[in-house]
Amino acid sequence: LSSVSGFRHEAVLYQSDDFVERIAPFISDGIANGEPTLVMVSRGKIGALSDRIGTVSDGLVEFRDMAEQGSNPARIIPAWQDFAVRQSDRGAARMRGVGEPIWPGRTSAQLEECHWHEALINRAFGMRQDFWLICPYDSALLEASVLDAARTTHPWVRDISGIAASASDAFATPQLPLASAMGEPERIEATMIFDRDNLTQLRAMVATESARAGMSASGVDDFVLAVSEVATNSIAHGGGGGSARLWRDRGDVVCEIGDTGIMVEPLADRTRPDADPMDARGLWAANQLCDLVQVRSGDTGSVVRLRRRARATAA
Amino acid sequence: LLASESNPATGSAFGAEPVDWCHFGQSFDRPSTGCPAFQRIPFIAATSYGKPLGAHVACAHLQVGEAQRNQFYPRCALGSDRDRLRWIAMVGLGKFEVLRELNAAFEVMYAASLRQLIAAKAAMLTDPTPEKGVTRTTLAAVVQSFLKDFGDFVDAHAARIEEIGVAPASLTARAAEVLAEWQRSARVDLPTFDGREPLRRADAGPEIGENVVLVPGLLMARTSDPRGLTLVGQIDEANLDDVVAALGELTGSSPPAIVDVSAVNFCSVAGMRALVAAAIGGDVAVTGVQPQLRRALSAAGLLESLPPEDAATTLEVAS
Repeated sequence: LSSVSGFRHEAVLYQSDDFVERIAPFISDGIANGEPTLVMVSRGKIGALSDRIGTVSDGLVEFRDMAEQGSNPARIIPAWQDFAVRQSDRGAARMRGVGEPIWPGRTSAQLEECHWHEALINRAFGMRQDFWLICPYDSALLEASVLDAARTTHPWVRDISGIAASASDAFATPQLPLASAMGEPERIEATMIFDRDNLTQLRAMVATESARAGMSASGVDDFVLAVSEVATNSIAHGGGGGSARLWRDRGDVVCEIGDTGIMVEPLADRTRPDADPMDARGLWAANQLCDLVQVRSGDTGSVVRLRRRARATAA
Repeated sequence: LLASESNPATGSAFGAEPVDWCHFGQSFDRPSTGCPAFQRIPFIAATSYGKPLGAHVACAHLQVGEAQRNQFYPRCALGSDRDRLRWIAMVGLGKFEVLRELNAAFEVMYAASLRQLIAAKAAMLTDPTPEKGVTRTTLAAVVQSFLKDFGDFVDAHAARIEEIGVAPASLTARAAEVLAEWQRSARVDLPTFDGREPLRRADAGPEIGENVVLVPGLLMARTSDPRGLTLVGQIDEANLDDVVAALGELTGSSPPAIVDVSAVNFCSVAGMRALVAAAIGGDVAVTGVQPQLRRALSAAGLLESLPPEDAATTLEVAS
């Protein structure tokens, strides 16, 4: 199989040491076919892959540090979409991607969002584009539950014994994962009920608590805006207001906004807004301003957890 | 303070909250999303015996208010939300940053002298000799030296001080007065430049009227030469409709009307959308965009919405 039609989303389970051996040929085949390829993996792996592939002319292969682009997994789909649009505009009929959003050391909250991201990407691309995306998973280092999740979020899974269609079709219709209830914090620092008239006080609460947790001044500004935008959504679409609670988790500040609104479009928080300034963009901005934004929505309402690092934690 | 166990709207134990209650009490080390009138000053906490407990950052306008007997609250010397916005408008529509810069420069100069002032005062107060002759003389010399530095500071910044509507000579005279009083007092504390400070008079702010409109959290002043709008405070859901209407009044301006946002310390994404839409339409040029707002515009994907020449010039970044 040297090229595909439609969107092909494939997990590749490798064993730590054989990363370059397993992945480099996929990139080389793309080069041979003249298919533009975007590779988003760690800085170290970028080095190893470029050493193997050698110099590529025409800017056919582009590398990006996944630790940077994907620190908040909700920023990964827009990067793939930008790449696909850019290459289509240049007349490319087929393209390839290598993306490794999950590595050892991801926190449990990040892992949940990474799995959600992997499920959503099936919906984001559908069959419109001839785009072959492989996602390397280090099966020697990652936990079995992570690999199990990868098998359900990828329609195709390739391991040492070959390629197989996914055992589950859960990837086909991703729902907002309300069922995966998020863990409860141990200690709440502050809570408040908000509506249109006391957003200023909500912002003061978030600024105060974030600064107290050690967040930088510009970090506080960004975090306050993100929380304020999500709360504004509650006012507009979630029953006129909602509740906020805030706590610390290791070096992070987490603020959760709950309301009675129901979110319908699971890609809403990661769809790049239109150039028209009248296009809504509050949740999009929140994802650019925060380290992690977790959206959960069900029949009774929605919860959005925003998280931003306040200070470095000891590893 | 804002925990839901108490009522955030009325602020707990006092029943009806005093209008001059400061809600920004814990975030003094980072002013920009907090109060638009915040003015950083050093504050040395001390025990009731006058023993210093270390330096903190506080706001020049923060005082202790007494709501009822023995019930204290953080009081803003400027008054209510409305008074604060009027004060900012008075200090200089669009020139608030000048004041902030002056304060920052003053703080650097003041910090260098603080230790000497405090040490000399403490030495004098603890001097066991009846006449305290030597330590008294030393203190007087340190005060004179500080006043000379203060005078040099005022001279060096005279133009900017006048820019915010204060006579440099009155500032020097006021400093001499404060220091003389402090030198005589029998406490280890800091000279405080508050109280009768001319900048504190909110009643001198622009009258709310036809051209100066106060909406929740925001003061909007229409200017005529050049034609435009100066916004002071926070733009959010509570006043978005008012902002959109005020921007709408500027349609058909040629040259574009000037919208000054240098004293806007929070702007929601919907507020940014309104500003950018007006700028794209060519009716207004937005000036005084602070670094925080520029970062926010970028995060909201709105910097790219502007034509490149507008992003560079129309939305000029305040230096």
